[in-house]
Amino acid sequence: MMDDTRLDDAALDVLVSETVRVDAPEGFAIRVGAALDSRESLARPRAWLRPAFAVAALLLAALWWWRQPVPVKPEGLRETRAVAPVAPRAPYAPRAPYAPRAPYAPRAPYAPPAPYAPVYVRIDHERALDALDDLPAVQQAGIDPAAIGTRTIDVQPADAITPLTIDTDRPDPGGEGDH
Amino acid sequence: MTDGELVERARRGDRAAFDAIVERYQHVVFRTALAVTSNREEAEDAAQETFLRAFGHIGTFRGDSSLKTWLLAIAWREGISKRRSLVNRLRRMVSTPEDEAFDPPAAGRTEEARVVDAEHALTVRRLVARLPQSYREALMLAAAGDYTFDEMSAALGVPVGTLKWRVSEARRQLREKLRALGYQG
Repeated sequence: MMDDTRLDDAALDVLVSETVRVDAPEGFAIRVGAALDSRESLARPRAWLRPAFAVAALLLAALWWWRQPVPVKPEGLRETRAVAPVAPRAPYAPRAPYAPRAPYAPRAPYAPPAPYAPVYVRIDHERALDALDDLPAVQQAGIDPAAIGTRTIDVQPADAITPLTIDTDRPDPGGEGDH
Repeated sequence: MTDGELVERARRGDRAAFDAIVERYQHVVFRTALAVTSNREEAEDAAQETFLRAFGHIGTFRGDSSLKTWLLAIAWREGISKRRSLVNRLRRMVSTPEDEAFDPPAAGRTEEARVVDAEHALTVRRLVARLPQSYREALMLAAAGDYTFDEMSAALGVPVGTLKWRVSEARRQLREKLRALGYQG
């Protein structure tokens, strides 16, 4: 360490070196060993997991492969076609000779079409009514007033009606005539 | 027992051999993690995770590089991972890692000298913590003296020339700041 404030390169190096040259804390190696033990003890029970995963993966792969349809290679198909004997083709049947065509029958003469039946019935609303004499007459039975309890009342003759006259020369009292 | 023999035995599941590896490289790995995280707690976690990861992947260690370089690479990645974690970012917002307690070597020194040493060390630690990240990491790794520049280059994937330049630049900036505080160069 420096004993004064003089600072040359060597002194600086020594000062820096002593400052940064810090040892690990006491018991650090023991702490690391304990951490290793802890990690190992944690890892040991899980050691079977890795092979178990591998076996499971293999089983899944085998199952998947087994479920796949068997692929047929195109080369195999070609070989099969080449090896299989070609079946002899049946001979073509002889074509039947053309039969002579029958002569055309004479065409029947053209018949005029039947007249169309009227679709709508025309009704003449302006036609004259039938004579009333031709209508059947219905005879009304006579009604007896006494049988239905009627009585006779006297009706006074009404006064003679005088015609209404309007005097247009009279002045308008309330100005209502403007309307 | 050499590193190669320990690795070979650890590969075969010898826990004692791996414990020997941890015992041998615990300080180196811790300092590497500390260089990245600048925080003791995060460095401890990163160093522990480094050894756990190394134990799990000891079978993949091919021996192309030295065991120390391999551990450096793992510790570096773990340190970066810790530094980037959200929890540690939030923790850094409320604490200043450069103010952590520092225990200077006490052998053969008076109490007064220890106080002065502690004061110097705290000053340097604060200044180092305020260096740009790439400079700080390179300086702390180089100053720790655990690795050569070739080993650092191989583990971190950074050219040797770049690492040397970063260390040099870090020293220059650090010296300037110390001079500004009254230290004479």
